[in-house]
Amino acid sequence: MLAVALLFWGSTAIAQRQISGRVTDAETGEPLIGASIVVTGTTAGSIADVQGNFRLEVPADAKSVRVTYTGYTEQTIDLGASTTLEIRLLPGVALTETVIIGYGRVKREDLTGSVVAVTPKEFNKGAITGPQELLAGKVAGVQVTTGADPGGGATIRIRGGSSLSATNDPLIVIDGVPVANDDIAGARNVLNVVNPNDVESITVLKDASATAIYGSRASNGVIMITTKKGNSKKELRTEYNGSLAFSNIVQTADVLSADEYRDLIFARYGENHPARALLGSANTDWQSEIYQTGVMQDHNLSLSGGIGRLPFRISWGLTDRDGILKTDNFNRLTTAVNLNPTFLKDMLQVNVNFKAMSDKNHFADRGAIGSAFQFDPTQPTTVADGPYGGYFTWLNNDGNPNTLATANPLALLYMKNDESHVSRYLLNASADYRFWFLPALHANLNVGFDRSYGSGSVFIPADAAFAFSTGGRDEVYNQTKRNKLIEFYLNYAKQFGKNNLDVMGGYSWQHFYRNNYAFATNVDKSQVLRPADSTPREYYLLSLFGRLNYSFNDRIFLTGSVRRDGTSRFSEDNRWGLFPAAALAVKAVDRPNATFSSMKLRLGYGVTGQQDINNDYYPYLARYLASTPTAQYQLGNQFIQTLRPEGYDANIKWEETTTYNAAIDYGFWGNRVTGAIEVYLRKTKDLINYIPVAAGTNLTNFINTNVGDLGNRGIEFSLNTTPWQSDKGSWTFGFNVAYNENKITRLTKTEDPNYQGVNVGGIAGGVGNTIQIHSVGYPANSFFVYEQVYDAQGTPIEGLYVDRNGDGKLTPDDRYRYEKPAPNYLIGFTTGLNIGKFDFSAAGRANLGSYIYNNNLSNNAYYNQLYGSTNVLRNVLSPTASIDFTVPQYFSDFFISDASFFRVDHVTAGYTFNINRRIQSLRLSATVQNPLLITNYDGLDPEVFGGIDNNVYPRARTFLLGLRANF
Amino acid sequence: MKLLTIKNMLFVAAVSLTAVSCFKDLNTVPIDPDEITSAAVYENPAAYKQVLSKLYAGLAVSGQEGPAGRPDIAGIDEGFSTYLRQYWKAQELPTDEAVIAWNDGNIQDYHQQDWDANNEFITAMYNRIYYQISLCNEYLRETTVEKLDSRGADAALKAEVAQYRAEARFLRALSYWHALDFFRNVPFVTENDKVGSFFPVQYNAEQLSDFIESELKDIEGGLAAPRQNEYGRADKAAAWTLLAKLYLNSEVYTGRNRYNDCSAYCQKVIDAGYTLHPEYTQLFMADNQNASGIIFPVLFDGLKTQTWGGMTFLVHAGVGGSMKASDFGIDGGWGGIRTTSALINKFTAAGVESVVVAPTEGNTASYQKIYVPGNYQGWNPAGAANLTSPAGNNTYEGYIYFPEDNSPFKFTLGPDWNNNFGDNGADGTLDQNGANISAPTTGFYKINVDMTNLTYTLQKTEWGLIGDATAGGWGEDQNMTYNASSGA
Repeated sequence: MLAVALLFWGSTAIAQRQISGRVTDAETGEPLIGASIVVTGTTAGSIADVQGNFRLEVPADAKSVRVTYTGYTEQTIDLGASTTLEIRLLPGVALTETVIIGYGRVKREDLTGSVVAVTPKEFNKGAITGPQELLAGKVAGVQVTTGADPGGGATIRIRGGSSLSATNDPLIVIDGVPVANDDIAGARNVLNVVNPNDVESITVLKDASATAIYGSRASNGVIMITTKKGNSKKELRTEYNGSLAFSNIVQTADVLSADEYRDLIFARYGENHPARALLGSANTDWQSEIYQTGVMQDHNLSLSGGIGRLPFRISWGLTDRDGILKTDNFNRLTTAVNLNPTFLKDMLQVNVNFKAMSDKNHFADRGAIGSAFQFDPTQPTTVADGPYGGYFTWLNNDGNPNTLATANPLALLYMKNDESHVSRYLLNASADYRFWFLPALHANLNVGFDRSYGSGSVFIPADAAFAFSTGGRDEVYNQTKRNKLIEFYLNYAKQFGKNNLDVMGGYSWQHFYRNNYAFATNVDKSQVLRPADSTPREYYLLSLFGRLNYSFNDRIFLTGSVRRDGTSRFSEDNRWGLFPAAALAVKAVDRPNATFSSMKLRLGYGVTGQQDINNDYYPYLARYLASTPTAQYQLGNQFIQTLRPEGYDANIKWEETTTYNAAIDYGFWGNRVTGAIEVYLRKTKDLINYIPVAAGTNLTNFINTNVGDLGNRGIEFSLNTTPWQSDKGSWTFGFNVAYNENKITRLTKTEDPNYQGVNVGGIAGGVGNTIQIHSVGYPANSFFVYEQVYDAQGTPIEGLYVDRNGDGKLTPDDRYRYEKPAPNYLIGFTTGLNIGKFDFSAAGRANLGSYIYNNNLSNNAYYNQLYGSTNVLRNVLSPTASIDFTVPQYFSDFFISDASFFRVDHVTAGYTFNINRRIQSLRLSATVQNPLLITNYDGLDPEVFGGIDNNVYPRARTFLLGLRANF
Repeated sequence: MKLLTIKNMLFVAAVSLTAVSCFKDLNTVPIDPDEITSAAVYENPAAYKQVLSKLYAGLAVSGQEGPAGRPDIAGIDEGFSTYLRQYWKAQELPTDEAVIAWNDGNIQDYHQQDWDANNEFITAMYNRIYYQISLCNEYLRETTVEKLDSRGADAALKAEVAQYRAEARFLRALSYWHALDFFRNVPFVTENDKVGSFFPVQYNAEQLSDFIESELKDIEGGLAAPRQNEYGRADKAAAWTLLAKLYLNSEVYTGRNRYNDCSAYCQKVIDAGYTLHPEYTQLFMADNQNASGIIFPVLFDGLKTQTWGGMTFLVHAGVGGSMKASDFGIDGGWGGIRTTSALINKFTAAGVESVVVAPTEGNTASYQKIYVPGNYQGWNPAGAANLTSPAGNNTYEGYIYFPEDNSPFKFTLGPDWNNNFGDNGADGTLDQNGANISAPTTGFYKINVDMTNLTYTLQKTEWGLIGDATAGGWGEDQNMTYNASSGA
């Protein structure tokens, strides 16, 4: 030790010392042949050999070395006193050095807009089948609410929602192709075509200065998914990644047990009351009957490398997952092929991406979840040799199944065969050509095809009690979607001294086509339940766009962009919209090695649009709609297919959202700590809104029209840090928090103080009941309820509400807006620790200030539910006794609960073996998903998109074992 | 060279693609054959009647996809939104005649008499009325003589459309009368207003009443003679009836007494040859197109005109408690609408025992039937109650009230004594020309007869009412007995 110190000390000026080490892929452990190791601030360096080993003479005063490798994140390693370095590089060069933005890339440090890239090391781990889930909690202001069914989708909201009736989903761009994100018939998740194992990065564009280049579809942000590519510089790499997972329900609803139920029936109904006679002698826990351990297996194999000059990557994935609800199954095969050859001395770069998916689903009837709460626990699940499939069934007094009674949950699961098969492929090819006479100019052509075919069937046998009225059901449906894209742009980028100029201009054409077909009859075909109908639709989007990036001296950055979008959804006079954006960024501090190492100020402004009015493709056009054969009308002896004039707004136009964004990006301690603070204001005007029109003035009472304004404003903070880093490993920690406030500022064309708003948020209980409202001055989807009055003990007094308008009567006018489902604060954290061959990671999220209407409670906790006059018994939730309601009180604010929560999404531990030359590395890992949930909410799960908790598929706790091998 | 070629190819590709995908793509029209632009729809002459049939269907269905789907109006559950269901609720639920058991939104406000303008059911009734009016206006806008000429319509089509237009104006007048009756001072829109979003003028009761009257008188000549139009379509008598109803309440609407006009128009209807149908219950059966006395029907069909309103609602919603759904020709009751104890008590107070509702949907007067002449009705086969065979399999079923103990009766195959059956030895087997059968005690009997095997059964039944109006609340029902003399 002393000797080393002396040597070090004594040779300060001229002496050199030798270091050696090995450079490997941090994820796979395989050697990175040819990685470059350069002493920081010098040109002295070395190259890693076939085993990834290197030796390097460094000046004694050298403090660090920089390690780079194409396709990997550059790393600067502090030398300290060590002479042997174990260097692990993370794949994904694009992600630190350059970031994908619309129609191009930009150096991360040159970004002017609010753009966040998430890479595989930060991705969520566990049993994940869709790419959205990778993102949950990773980016400030991005809320991802995942579905809990196997292969299920997720709802993404970026900085709240900027629309009301039109969609609030962000635009998804997969390898440069903006895809339609409306549902595919029979598919659980529209993005299942992207296997999460193939994802290289997900970039989120949050503010308008970044998104406006996508113009009309960018109001709710843009998510760009980039998949992995081949690399000809590497030898053939084979990777297997597999997992086996077991999922179980975390908690079931607290309903009365069979004995408790019997006691309650005896307590409430007198000696000769028919309710007593209906009691059975069984003790059935219906919830435990419907759930199971869901097993998932997932296998992925990929090959990448180069064949001659053709770099390629090809992968296959197989996922088979059972839900925790019995009979629920998701089975998927994916294939992805990427070819990215270059020609003409690299002047022409071609990139071909092909992704294909075939998924098969068996859908369990989710009605079983609610039925299991309600079904009388004193009845047996099955009756030996009984009718109706042998499942216990409530009967009418005429001996037929009671159509008003709760359906047997097991009959719902096992007597309904609801299956689908979906295939989809996404093919895009881009060619980027750099002109030989002017290398600063290049042309890019991108052609994409997105086709899907989903088909499914629902079969319920005629003896199923829950379909007794119709004599079963025999339904088939299918859907064809064909979307095409052609995009072309020219890009000119050149440095003039300290000035850097990058100009891009292009054109885009997209065509969306889909055709849905469905037909349902009863089993013996004697009755049509859903008339055969085919509904083809199409729309076009045409765009011209341009962008100018200018920077001076690597200090000041200016971006200006404009997009002109035309849609076939609007009339000739209104169909073109202009969406400009501008941004300015200034690097105020840029001292990579200082304590206060970097600071960049950013200001952005942009206008984006919205034309995605769900399924209305011709809202401006006067048209007539023919009736189906089941809605004909008889005149004389003839049934006539009627023609109905449709309501329309000839003047409907783009909804426009203007966003202002201001941010500070900061870095401390040589950018060991980085992050950003952002504030934004987003105002939407001319909201495309589905609202009532004055009686008699249009051809129906509600139309899509441009009425209303709303605003979102918020502040976001993010922090990414590496608290500890050495040659032994590193610890990374990322944290983000976002606050958002949403408010509707106008809903009618003229001031109308009497206008309450648009009722939304259908609930279970009664028919057509809604619990939420869009009202001026309040957040979208505010709960619209009566204020409950409580007695001295704090028990709600049934049917007694506060007369809020003081008119001495209790009328619907006494309802008030109370809270909303969207959280005020979104918090996310991700952490990773590498020590030697061990790695650990964990991620979690919190939502604060989100509220839920507990529909399960409001609809299953009142005494009248116990016995129905049509001779059925139903169970109630255990809190019924303390709530003490006799009839349901759906509109009481008693049922609105604070649903703030903190959830740990996953905890993962892994160990990597370096085995031999054939198997370069082997990583074993174990993950627990959803290990911890902290909340005050009484229901099963506080994370319910839309804020109405009813028959929500419960999130499972999943234990997963993973194996990854590299050959 | 190679370089140039590829470069050129790229350019050619880019330029040609740009040219192909030109801006004209944005001029799309619907590609679904079920959706036709308004500019093209009347190219097919059949469309005039198809659109007219929608105006009639507006009174029956909820949308273009029976029983539900693609609704006509929004803001309420589609099943609730049909014209007749709303009309029935608005007319009946605020009275003592009916209550509803459900908790759908603010439906209870009707009966509790505390509704206001934000009640979704009242809003839906209002919207349904104006939906009908705006569809009629659209039809009148699109079928003017000028438009017909521009489309090259021939004289025959023009004459036909002229009558359609008169019927459209009748339907509009009908809905305006409902608007007047329910809401009084209301927005006024006609075919002279364009489709859009504007604030229409408001008409007071007098203006609206005058408009309805002048419309009906104006179209009188254009409508078919009474009972001469196709089934389901309005004729002169329909217009007269509406005028009579308007005049009957004129004093309430406008303060003007028009009872003489009411009487005159009623007389016109009577003189046109309408008679009261002899069997009241048959008016409520599925083949009531054969009944006399119906002036203007709204038509439903279980297969081709499906809806959650109309008779589907009225029959299903009324069946609950101990009533057997199969007795009413339906798969299950909805346990929704009942009458109040106040109504029952009224009859009791008048010395009448009770009321019962006859089975309707699924039963028709044209079913195979046999007759049950007996002492209870004077031994007259032609006037006797029937048992019917809904399945047409020679087994018959029905309900008869016997007002005394040991009441004798027989079965006859026709309305005469030619083929009559009794029961020798009271063994449950029928004998042609056999001895009288006897219902042992006073009461309401369910009678089943199998004419193939010549067997029969008698079962005494009790009919019940259930509701929060009855003494036991919804939990229990109150038994009712049949009152034969009241015909109910």
